[in-house]
Amino acid sequence: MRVIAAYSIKGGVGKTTTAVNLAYLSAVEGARTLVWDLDPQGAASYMFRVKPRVKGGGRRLVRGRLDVDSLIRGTDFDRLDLLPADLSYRHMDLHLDTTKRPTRQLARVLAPVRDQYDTVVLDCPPSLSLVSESVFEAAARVLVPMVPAPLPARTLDQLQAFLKAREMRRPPKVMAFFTMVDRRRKLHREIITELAGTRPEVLAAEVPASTTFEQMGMRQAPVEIFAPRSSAAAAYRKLWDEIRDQGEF
Amino acid sequence: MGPLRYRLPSRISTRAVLARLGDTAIIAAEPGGASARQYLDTADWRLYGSGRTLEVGADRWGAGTLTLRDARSGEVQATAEMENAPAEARDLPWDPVRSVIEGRRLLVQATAQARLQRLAVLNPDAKTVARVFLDRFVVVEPAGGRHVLRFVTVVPVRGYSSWAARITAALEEMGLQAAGVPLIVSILAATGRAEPGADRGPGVPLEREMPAAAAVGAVLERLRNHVVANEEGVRQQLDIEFLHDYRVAVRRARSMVRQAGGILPAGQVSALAGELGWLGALTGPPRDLDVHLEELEGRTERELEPLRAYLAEKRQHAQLQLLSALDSERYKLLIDQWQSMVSGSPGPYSEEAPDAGRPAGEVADEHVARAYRRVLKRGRAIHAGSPAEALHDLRKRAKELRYLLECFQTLYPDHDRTAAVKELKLLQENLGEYQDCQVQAVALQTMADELMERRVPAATLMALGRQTDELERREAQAREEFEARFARFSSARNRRRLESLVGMRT
Repeated sequence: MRVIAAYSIKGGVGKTTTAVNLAYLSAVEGARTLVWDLDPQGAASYMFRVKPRVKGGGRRLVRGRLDVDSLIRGTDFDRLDLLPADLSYRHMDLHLDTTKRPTRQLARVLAPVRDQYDTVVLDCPPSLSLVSESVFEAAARVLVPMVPAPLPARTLDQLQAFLKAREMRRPPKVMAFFTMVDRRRKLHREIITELAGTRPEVLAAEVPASTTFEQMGMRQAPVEIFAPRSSAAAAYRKLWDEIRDQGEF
Repeated sequence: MGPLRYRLPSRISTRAVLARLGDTAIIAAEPGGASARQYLDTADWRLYGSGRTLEVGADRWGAGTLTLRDARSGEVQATAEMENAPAEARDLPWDPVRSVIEGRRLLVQATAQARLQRLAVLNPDAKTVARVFLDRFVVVEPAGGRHVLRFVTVVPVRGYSSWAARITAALEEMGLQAAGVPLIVSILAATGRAEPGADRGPGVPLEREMPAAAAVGAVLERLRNHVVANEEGVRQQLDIEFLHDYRVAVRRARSMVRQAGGILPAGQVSALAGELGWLGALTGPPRDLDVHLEELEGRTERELEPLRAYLAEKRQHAQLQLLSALDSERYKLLIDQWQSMVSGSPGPYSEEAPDAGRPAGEVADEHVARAYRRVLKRGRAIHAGSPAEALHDLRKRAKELRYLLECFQTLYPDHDRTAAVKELKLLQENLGEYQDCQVQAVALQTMADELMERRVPAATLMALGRQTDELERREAQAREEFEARFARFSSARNRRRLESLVGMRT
């Protein structure tokens, strides 16, 4: 089971879009895939038309008191399942804090379904908190979408410093990539060129700013379903290829 | 809850099913398709035996998709795009499946034209909460006959099983019945074929009270069917498994016939036994060569190449001899004679066959007990200084016992018989290892002599020498282990087990 997290300290950079589209590509390829919507807003759950509700409560789930198996919902797509969000996830930091080893807890919740999935995609809430730490423990890859705004390197630096300070046994590999890119804008081009040249963790694939992504919310489906020939769909295919080309995990 | 497949009888139209589904929930059509499907498996149905089916589907543009499914539920386990249909394990992208197939060939076991209609069951949020597949298969027989099979399959979506339950309830109200057997079994049944593997063994359903001649006749008929069913595969050398099965059936039949004295007319028995001996002997050399060649499979040392070429040449020669035998008048007569023997009803009591009309159970018990006593007697006479022939002879007697227990298996309770066979098997493995090593070592020596005349590289001869050494080591080890194995087989405990099976003292 490979665990990938779509994560960013900032909100609104395309985490859920990334999680949903990559999970879909993983499933299409034949991998049994699970998306865990950790964001209390439940955007990923909404995309898959699943009610954002954990029967029994998010608190009991992260404390390992619920049967995760019974909470998983099938999506409209073959081999792609979802562990829905719950409003109570907004207090997940507090819930984790009351467990024995909070940073191991998310991995522990997934343990019972290890054999059922080849890929697990975590859609994380924007923050740098106990939840993030637990995500980093569980995931082998952390995908960081970045918008090409000034000082994007700072976000990456913060994340890397955070990971380093944790002294983890097996820290996840950070993979950053640009989203909402408008190649017509000089600033975007400059930022991308500069960062791509200096930071090895920045991937070559970039996701364009596109109205296709806005339609995702309306269509409630991955872009591959309703706009397979769009540049948006092509960008995610390229991103997924690049992630896989960097080795099995 | 897994997928549930219903047989759609001809009296219920697809339209009626759609109407009923529409009354039950919101239904949306999904892309379906049509494809020509070939179901692949090895000659001995290894994939099916491991709970899987493999199909190659070609759509109307000829693009091929390989689909691996769970045989029972029909759930897709893996798919792959393929340019050519796979012929053997290495053509498949899945390791676990490869190790099931090993060196066997993948054969087309059945073909069907499939037309699939996919429907999604939606909840008020327009979320897919179950799927319904309406599948229509046209199964074409080699002779040209067509059979239409229609199914409705309800596939639950995880976390929404109540919706699937609602759909299945509606279908059952319409009078649909769950298919209950894997799809491949339905497809095979449409053309009159049995479930894969079901008719592989010699175990035909027998009753203890039926006349012994009828029981023996039923067993011989099953074995004859095996011979006939495997003949084409033997001729075409599709897979070495065909010759193996063919040979086993011939040998089982010969053993049965030879032991049927008193049950079948003596004149017929000796004639048929003689002819089966002839056929069995013909299949020996090609089978041995198949085994030798199989052992070389996967070995890549260059010095083994001349040996492989030599064996392949001999195999081809043996095949020609076998083919000319199969084309002979003698063979046709044998098969006819075999048929007339099994189809003839047991005649009234005669001097020639005094046991023909006695209850099969009783007669089988006597034969098994007698065969068992023979094994014990021969085995006990073997000591450290006994010649190899004594062990070879014991092996034959053990085989006779084994064939009896297998051919008459349905006369005995499964559990007791399995336990008895298990013990016998342990002894047979030891005797088999001993004799096979010996025979192979002699064969290698002959090969070495012939290869020497062909001036093959010294490295090849040395490789043969190493193999001979290894065989001799194994042979010695088997001889050493014999005593303990036989002691276990002839132990009081095992003896009681057999005595209780046949209900008499041995």
